[in-house]
Amino acid sequence: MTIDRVPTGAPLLSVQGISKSFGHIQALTDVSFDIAPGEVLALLGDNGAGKSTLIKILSGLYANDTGEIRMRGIPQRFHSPADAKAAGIATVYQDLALVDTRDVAANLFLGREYTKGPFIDVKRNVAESRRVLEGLKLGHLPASGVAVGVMSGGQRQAVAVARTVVSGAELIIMDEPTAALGVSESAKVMDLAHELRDSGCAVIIISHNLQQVWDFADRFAVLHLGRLAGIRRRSETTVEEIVQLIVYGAGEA
Amino acid sequence: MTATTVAQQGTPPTSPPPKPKSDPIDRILDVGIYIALGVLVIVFSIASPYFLTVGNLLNIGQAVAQTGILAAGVTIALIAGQLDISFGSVIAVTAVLVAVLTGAGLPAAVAVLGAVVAGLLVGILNGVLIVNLNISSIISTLAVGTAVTGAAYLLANGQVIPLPDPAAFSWVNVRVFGLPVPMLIAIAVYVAGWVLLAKTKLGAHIYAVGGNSSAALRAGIPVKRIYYTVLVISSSLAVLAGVIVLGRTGAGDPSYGAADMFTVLGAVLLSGIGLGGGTGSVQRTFVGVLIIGVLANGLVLLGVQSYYQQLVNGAVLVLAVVMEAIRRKRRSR
Repeated sequence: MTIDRVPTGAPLLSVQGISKSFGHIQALTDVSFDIAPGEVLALLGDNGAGKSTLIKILSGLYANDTGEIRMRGIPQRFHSPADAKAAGIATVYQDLALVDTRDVAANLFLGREYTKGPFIDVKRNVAESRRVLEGLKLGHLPASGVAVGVMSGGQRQAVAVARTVVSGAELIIMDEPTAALGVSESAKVMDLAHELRDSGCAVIIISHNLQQVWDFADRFAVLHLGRLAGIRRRSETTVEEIVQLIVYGAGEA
Repeated sequence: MTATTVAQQGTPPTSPPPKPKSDPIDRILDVGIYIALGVLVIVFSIASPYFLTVGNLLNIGQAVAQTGILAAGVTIALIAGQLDISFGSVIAVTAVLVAVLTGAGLPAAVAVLGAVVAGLLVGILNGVLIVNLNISSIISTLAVGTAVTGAAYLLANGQVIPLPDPAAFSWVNVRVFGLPVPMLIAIAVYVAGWVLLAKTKLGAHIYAVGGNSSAALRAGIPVKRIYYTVLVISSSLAVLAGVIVLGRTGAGDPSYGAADMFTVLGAVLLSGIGLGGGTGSVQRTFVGVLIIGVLANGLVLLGVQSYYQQLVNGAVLVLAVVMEAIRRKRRSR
């Protein structure tokens, strides 16, 4: 029953020859990869390998010096995070960007509330929130009445992820989603990544903890000193090989 | 690998869904103000037979109307994360400006319009300092408030300026259906404030901006515009309070508003709103306003010297701040 979920269809996101430097520091050099709808890609690398820079380029915070980003084959030029969002890329940062004093419905529809004239259509916001939560198997989370600030780290992460679904994102980037979570909460976040995948989204999970993502990713992209050291399918690689790539890069592998 | 099986199962069936609950201490503090108000009412009605009479309750209503209107504005701004303490100066400048302008022969309506413009300018000036120059709201509104108070004194030449035609503002002292007009205005302000905060998109954005301004900004909410809006609402309500004071006293006195600082802040902080932003409601502030009003009224009925009243006001403020500190400590897990 080994499932190789990498679809053969056209890539959702295609990154070709991306480079980025800050002054004389070359943060990324000629990075290229694809990701298909319904795929979970783990982006791995040591501190300073270029993971953050790559993600910031994909989410519109930095402009790439060279190279091309395509979504569904259409070349993109991101001048701001809003551009990336409009292209269907949503990033869940470690700070989660939640309003802790408000409930799930208010957070899911933050800035895009259903309204009737100047009034909030509370019923609709709550009903739509329930639908989104249930679609992600998060039906146990209360859509209204409980501030997200009193929820656990994993639940908050789930709310932040659910919001990307509300925004209609096709590619969801999760920046170290399990960094602050325990083992069981981390597993739930990974399950959530699978729910996203099963609903046809593509997911990029950034991590420096191979253990946590090993079971959950379809492919591993390893950055080493700003270069892509390698991309491997899980079915065709070993933990040892990935560790080798993370630590030594492509040269020694 | 075991991976695929885990993946196919989705969420592990064994784990019972953990339902997040609000903190128990939080809930006690939440109902605490209602209990406090109830206790005060009971104590004063036992201590003074006059307390629970219609006449006295209307006195309280009349007395808290001004505090209440101001506190509503402060609450709305504070929910957005901005503490606006310039309201006292707006009262002073409103009263003096209207007195001076009507004294110069302008009709009352035009003079009030002048005060409204002055109030808008104060709100906008607060906004420039807070939003554009990134200075903390308490410092900005303290500075603006001090300058505006100074301007009121200059305008009045340090004098109390009597209205040439107090009849133009006598509507303030009229009773409608037996209720004083300022009380009705205050009730209208609270209903409007509740609708704004609880029912409208602007209200939802005010909470969002106060709760997490960077998240609000990333969600496309016009954060700066929201800050300006709440500051202008706050200063406009202070103009309204200023007009009411003017009607009640028949004169523009630049020292108006100075005494309101602590009753208003006390009422707002008693509501448990906290200084962090993103929480609170005008309903809860209303209860805070009533506590302060009932306390002041009851102490007078009991014949307590006014210096003691100030002491009590200070103690209440300390209590409110301590409750907030407890709450915040429990929230930062």
